[in-house]
Amino acid sequence: MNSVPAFAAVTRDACSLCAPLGATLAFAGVRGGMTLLHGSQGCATYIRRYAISHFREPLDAASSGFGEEAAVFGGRANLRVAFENLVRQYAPEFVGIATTCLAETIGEDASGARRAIEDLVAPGGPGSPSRPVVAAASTPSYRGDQREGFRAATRAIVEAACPVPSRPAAGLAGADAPVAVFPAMVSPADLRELKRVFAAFGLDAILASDYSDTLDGGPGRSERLLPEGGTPVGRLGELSDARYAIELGAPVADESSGAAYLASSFGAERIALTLPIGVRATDRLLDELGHASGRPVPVELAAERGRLLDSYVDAHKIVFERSALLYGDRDLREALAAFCAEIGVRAVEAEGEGRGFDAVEAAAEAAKADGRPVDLLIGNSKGYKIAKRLGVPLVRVGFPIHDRFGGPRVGTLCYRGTQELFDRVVNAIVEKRQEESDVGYTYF
Amino acid sequence: MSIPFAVLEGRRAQVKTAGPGPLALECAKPSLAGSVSQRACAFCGSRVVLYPIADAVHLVHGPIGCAAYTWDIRGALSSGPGLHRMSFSTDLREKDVVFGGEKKLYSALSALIEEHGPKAAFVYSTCVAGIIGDDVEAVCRRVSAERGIPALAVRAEGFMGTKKDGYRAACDALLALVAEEGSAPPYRGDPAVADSPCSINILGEFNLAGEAWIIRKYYEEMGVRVNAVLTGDGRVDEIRAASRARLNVVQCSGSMSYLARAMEERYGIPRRQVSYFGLDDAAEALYAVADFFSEEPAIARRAAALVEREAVAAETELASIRRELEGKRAAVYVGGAFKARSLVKALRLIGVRTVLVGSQTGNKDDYEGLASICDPGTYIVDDSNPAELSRIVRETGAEIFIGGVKERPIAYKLGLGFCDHNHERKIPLAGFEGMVNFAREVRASALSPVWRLIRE
Repeated sequence: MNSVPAFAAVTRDACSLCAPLGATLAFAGVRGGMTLLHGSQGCATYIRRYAISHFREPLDAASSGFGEEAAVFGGRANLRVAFENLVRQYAPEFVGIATTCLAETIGEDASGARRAIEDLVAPGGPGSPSRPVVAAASTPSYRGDQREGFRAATRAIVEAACPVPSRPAAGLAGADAPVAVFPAMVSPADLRELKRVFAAFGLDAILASDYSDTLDGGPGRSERLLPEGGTPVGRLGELSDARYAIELGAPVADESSGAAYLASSFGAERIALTLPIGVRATDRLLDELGHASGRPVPVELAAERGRLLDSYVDAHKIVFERSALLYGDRDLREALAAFCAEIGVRAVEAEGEGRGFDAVEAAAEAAKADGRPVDLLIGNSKGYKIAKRLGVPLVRVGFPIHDRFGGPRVGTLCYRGTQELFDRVVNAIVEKRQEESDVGYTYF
Repeated sequence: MSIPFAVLEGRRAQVKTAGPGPLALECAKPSLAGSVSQRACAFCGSRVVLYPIADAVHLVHGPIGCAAYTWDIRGALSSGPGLHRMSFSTDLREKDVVFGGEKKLYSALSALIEEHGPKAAFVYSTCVAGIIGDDVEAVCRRVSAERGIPALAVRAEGFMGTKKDGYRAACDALLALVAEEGSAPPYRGDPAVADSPCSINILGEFNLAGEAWIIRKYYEEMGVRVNAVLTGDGRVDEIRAASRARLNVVQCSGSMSYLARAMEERYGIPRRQVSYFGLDDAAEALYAVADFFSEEPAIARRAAALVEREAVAAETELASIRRELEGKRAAVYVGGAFKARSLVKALRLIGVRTVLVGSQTGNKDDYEGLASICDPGTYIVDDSNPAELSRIVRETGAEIFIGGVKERPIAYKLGLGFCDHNHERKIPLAGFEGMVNFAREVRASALSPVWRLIRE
């Protein structure tokens, strides 16, 4: 009956975030790294605030601070001032520049930004004592969401660390060559788990990038303000020797793929896999790691797999043919859908792009009309309002988790992360049954 | 006194210490590029001011981020409708940037009004909408005419200026509503004062954690009618009838002084600047209104009784907390400098000395006022950043930080207790009971045993 055919014109309760946010997280995973957003001041502040509320860690990001004049006549001069000031204040080893909607709309993209500050980073250049390595990514959010921004920034990091032509290859053979790892925008806990699993195979994994410490660190802050941790630029430079470039998540377009860059420029083998959530997806990753290392699956990982399978058996009836509403980040959503399938849970998702939570809720309503109402939500904390309306539990994973503590420590990857997720899903269902029962069962 | 650490050259006049003579702190200027300002943008300023109006549609015309980051951003409570807590965006994509977004805006706005039947609609322009030259005003005029409700363009593109310029754009939209002069809606407050000839508007009060309700209760107890609150628990019809009030009391002066001045010029409504934080300032805020309505001496009598009663109720607990906190040092960094002043006084009341105080948007008068009540040597900063704040905290040995979400990790990483005095607070900190809550918050943060583990 709606006389205005405008459903597509409005996004209600946005499900996706902006591209520079993803870029900021990627840049935060380089040691001594600092983000500079080319645009107006608000973008940097909003992104910081949003990320701080999830990670509960400092996340400093500078802005080129466009005013009206810059918006009309160009922001290059602002970008130069911003770059010099941030180098003075932070002495970073690495600066990641991400363009915002505003800069891109007036035609200032990543390559323009890089050119604008070229002389300031050149050896002997006037501005910077520490001469940070600079990467620049084009990340207007009218073109892509946080996921695309994250990928574009990752590729920019690798391009900056491994320029072509590169130093002569070190000629590392077989298992001695590092393995390039391109995780999606996963939690610090998941990054730590990936590192542990790669190390268990004896592989020298280099993560592009790794914010497992920078965005989930201990107390204290150095005089220099930049957090400890992150992949050093020097290590990222070794990626040109990588024989394998493993890219996790939903498919990535070549031009935003660091793995594609290593493949085309240095002949690495690009291996694209979904996020390893669930037994099968983790098995696939471990197959590749076995192949790369020439080693069998380590005993400890085999034991974790066994425990996970055993728990699937123990709880299979609790979850069988339940429906889970999935939403948000595509990398995570696709992996969760596969996980749901292997434990007998039906995944319910919004049709099409699903950029707003209205579309997500419509999917839940449709499932209800089908006689299979949603039993739980699995996703970030912004699904809470729907969960509350539906009266079902929300299992919080991904980004952001703004209404609980410990978001950075939520694990989902590999056997151990899946175990954590599976136990939470099962217990969310059990808890609801227990609460709704008048009997007060004390055994399940 | 010279500053014993490096401050960026472009910011040296914005970092000073209180001493004899005028402070002459530089302020009210754009943030220095690359300084990592804690400020947001003009769009943000407009969005936070209008956000609490609960029966209006708030549509962000821009790419998705601007809407995503301002969805349900403030703990501004409503006693009725909850439209303000929904996020609507035209979600501009590449083709819109190339071909223009006016048609999309028109469809979006029309559809939302049809769906939600709001009393008004606010359309927030963003950087991209401004650059591609969408005529947001023309679309609003058209929709307004077709749908018979005010649709107001809020022209605060992010690059247009600072957060404060956004406040001004929001005030312009409010002024447009006030100019419509609707008939007075039924009174929502205490029926006993519904017909009181002594009526006020409360400006710059956003009902975070229900603070507007606390303040309204005080005034009503005094016999004063609260005509409209701008914008906490706000309603379009009440704002339209705001020109009927006899006095405007202005709390968040940074955001609403402009509106109060305009209403004074247009409607001859005088204004009083007040603050509800701390016992003294809260009492002053009530006495200022009582003084204004001196023709009704009962109002002053009731105000005095109220203040007496509330102060006595707060006294015992405040005294006990003061004994525990005596001698502690605090850093304060908040949005507005007028509030900062109240906080310095409120902290002093519980034995805490302020060693650093600053704001994102203070003006010259605010800062001189601050300097006049601070101990000599207190750092006073405008539009500061994590690097400066961290260095000053280290330098001064502050033990408690009062700020907003972005300051929280700065404080925690340096081992300071923290009290959230910003948008996200869930506990009312205004008024007399608010002062007790504030003291409890500071105490809980300063005295937690976890700090012993951190410092060991």
